[in-house]
Amino acid sequence: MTRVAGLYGASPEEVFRKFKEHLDRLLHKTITEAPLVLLSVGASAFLQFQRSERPICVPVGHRYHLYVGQTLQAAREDGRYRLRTLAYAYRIADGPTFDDQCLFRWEYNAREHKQSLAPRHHLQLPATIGCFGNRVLDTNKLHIPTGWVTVEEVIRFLIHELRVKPRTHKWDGDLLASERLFREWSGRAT
Amino acid sequence: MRAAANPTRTHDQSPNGLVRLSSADLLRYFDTRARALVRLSGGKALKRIRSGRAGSDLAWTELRLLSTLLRDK
Repeated sequence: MTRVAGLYGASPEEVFRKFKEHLDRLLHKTITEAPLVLLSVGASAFLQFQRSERPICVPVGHRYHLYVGQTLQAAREDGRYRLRTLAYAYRIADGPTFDDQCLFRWEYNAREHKQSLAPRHHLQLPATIGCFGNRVLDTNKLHIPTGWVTVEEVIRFLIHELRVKPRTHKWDGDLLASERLFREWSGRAT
Repeated sequence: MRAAANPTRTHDQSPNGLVRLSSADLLRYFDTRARALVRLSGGKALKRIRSGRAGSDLAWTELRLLSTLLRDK
């Protein structure tokens, strides 16, 4: 029997717990000590940064704030459960609250739960591009297509591109190790 | 961990960041979150999300992600 790549567990809760613990460890080692909160509902789950029952962007470095949210499913296969990601939303903002400006947001929705004509994996950001003489493209309204964006790549973007100070000098090795695990769990190339 | 009887309180959170909710309580949980975050009932919030008229801020981001758990409801 060929085993499909994946993060497996004996129960949905075990799968979700393993995944949350992995992401928490990665985040704590690299950019923030804030823990994710996991809401588990049978074979589905929802994971995000929240405080006092409100979603928050947690501070990373001195200026930026990060939100990570994912909807997960534990699919039954060969008597075990395998993790699937149904949706993700990552945001980098200039403050922690709803009113603070979001600078970058990456989102994904699985086709099975959201029929959409727009690209399912996309990036949006508050900028405009002048073109064709007097036309303006608003990139906050456009769904700019991306590939599958991993939490590791968002962390790498924060550290390397936005110059957020990492919590350890081993951050690159930690991200590479986590990406290897992601490839093993997802069967995707990163 | 069962949801509490109080309609404004749908769940309890353990210290390690794990919250368990029964499927039966999910709609009520969504309704509570929608009222707290965007001041709409869960039904109205769901309608906005499914018709593509939801906002793009953090509150709607959470509700949009949560709504994926309600796709059969």
